[in-house]
Amino acid sequence: MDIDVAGPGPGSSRSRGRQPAQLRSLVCERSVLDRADGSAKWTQEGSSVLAAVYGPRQAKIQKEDAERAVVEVVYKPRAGLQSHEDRSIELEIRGILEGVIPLGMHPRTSIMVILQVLQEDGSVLVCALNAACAALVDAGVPMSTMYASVGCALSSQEQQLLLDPDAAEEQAAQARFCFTFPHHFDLTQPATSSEPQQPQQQEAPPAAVAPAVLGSRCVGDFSCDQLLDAMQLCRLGCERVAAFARLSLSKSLMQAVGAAAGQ
Amino acid sequence: MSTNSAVRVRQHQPGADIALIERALNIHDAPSSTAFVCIGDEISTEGQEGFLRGHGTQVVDGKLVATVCGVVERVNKLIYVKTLNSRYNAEQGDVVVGRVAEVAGKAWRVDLKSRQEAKLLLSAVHLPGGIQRRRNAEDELNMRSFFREGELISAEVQSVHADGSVALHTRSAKYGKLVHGQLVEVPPNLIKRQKQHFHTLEALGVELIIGCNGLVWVAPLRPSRAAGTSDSTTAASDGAGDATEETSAPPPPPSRAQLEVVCRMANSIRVLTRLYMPVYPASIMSTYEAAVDGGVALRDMLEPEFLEQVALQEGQRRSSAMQD
Repeated sequence: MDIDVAGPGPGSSRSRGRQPAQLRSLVCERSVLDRADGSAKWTQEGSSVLAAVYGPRQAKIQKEDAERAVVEVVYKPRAGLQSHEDRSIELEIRGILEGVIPLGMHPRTSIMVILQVLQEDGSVLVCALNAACAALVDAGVPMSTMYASVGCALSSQEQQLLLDPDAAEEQAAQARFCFTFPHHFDLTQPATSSEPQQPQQQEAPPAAVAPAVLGSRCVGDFSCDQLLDAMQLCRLGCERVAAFARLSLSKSLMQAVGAAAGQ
Repeated sequence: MSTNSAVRVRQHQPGADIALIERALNIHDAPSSTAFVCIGDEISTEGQEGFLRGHGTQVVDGKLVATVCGVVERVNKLIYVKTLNSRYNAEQGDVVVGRVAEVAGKAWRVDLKSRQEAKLLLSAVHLPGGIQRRRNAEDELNMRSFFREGELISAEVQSVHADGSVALHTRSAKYGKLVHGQLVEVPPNLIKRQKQHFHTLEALGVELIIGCNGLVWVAPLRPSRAAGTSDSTTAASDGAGDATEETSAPPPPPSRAQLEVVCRMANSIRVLTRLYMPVYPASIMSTYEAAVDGGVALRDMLEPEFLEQVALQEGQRRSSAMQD
């Protein structure tokens, strides 16, 4: 299990100088749970979601599909029972995962993703999606691409787009957007990252975010142009989330393979 | 009466095991020569005319792309991505240990801790009497007299179909129901396919079955098994004869000394699992002997001190092997 941190320091809010296009600090812990096939805890400062993946394993006869794997998502809120909104979030996440996992490779199996919200401070769906991706990678479930998710809010007073809103900003917002983009490493381009890199790590190629959207969830009152602006802004944010996810993943892989070296 | 409490509470420290392994084996991070791939990364197939696509890869637009994160392995023409933890992938001829989950119409469904449950057909087991005959409706009704739900069995993988479903068979005297022993679950990556998966350690009075699916069975040696050491060469009729013997006379319950030996063997396997070291008879025996020579109590075998000792021993073994 390892903890990786990126972004501005803790306690960063817009009042203390966080720019509208700046993300909060990201923390990703992998292999948190023993019994699950894969698990990850994704924290975006105040919001934290724990994801556990079980599978691919034998599906129940009522639910099994003879030609493809079945993805089941359970999204549990921080307190109380599941509401209708939690169910709709489960559908959204399931749609994204079904687009990313090659289901035909494992017929008659089920892949169960369980998400538990530990802390809520805005952008909880975003946290949940990122945690699910990290947990699926930890479980070794085959995926055709990794994805990164970022949210933004349209403030009602200034009509300004704020990236990675916290709970107060989401409450005061006129509209809330959550976009998910697939990303991959672009090995053909040389490393041109503007972020500071640790000296002992090799140069990491930049993460290339695809222009196509994998999933989106937009709630509120907004115009067409505002939607497209939000999409562009979220795409920029996804680049940073993707770069962080890649660094964190390669670090945990190196550590784990080093410990198992010489087998 | 011992004054120590029977239950010991230890704080869970995530990452402590990896730190211990790194310290003892003196390695920090993987050597730079390992080729990592992430999901969506392209695997180079240059310099290879034809290649076989293995686990963890898929072909996208004529390029070979990884679908899991791990290390690329190339064996002759086979290219696959090895992940650190994955479920068991069955291959034909593997010896496996599984639990019967269901008895349903002419077949048992066996849980192998894999992606799908395996099927053991009624026609793939030995009938009592050893006669080869067609299974009729009466045999189907008496299926529970062979294996009931919840029982452990050892079997061999007969075939693996294209959709991943596995067919098992127990057409040999050495396969069958497992009773009076301990089951240890091990990640399947730690178990290598070898010539022999059934080991009888007569000096200790223990029999060991290392299933390729990660389930390892340790049991006290039964007198009938100890007598027939050449059971791989017995004919089918002998095998059927043994089966009727065992069903008529249940084995005697093991003594406390035998149980302690079995427990110690099981703990040695657990130690190897914690240290992520491969599980095979030589490594299990060396851990067992280290525990016995060091006078480590049964309950102290999973404590960090003994883990460190075993890791250091392994480090010394590797450095001396490299010097040779």
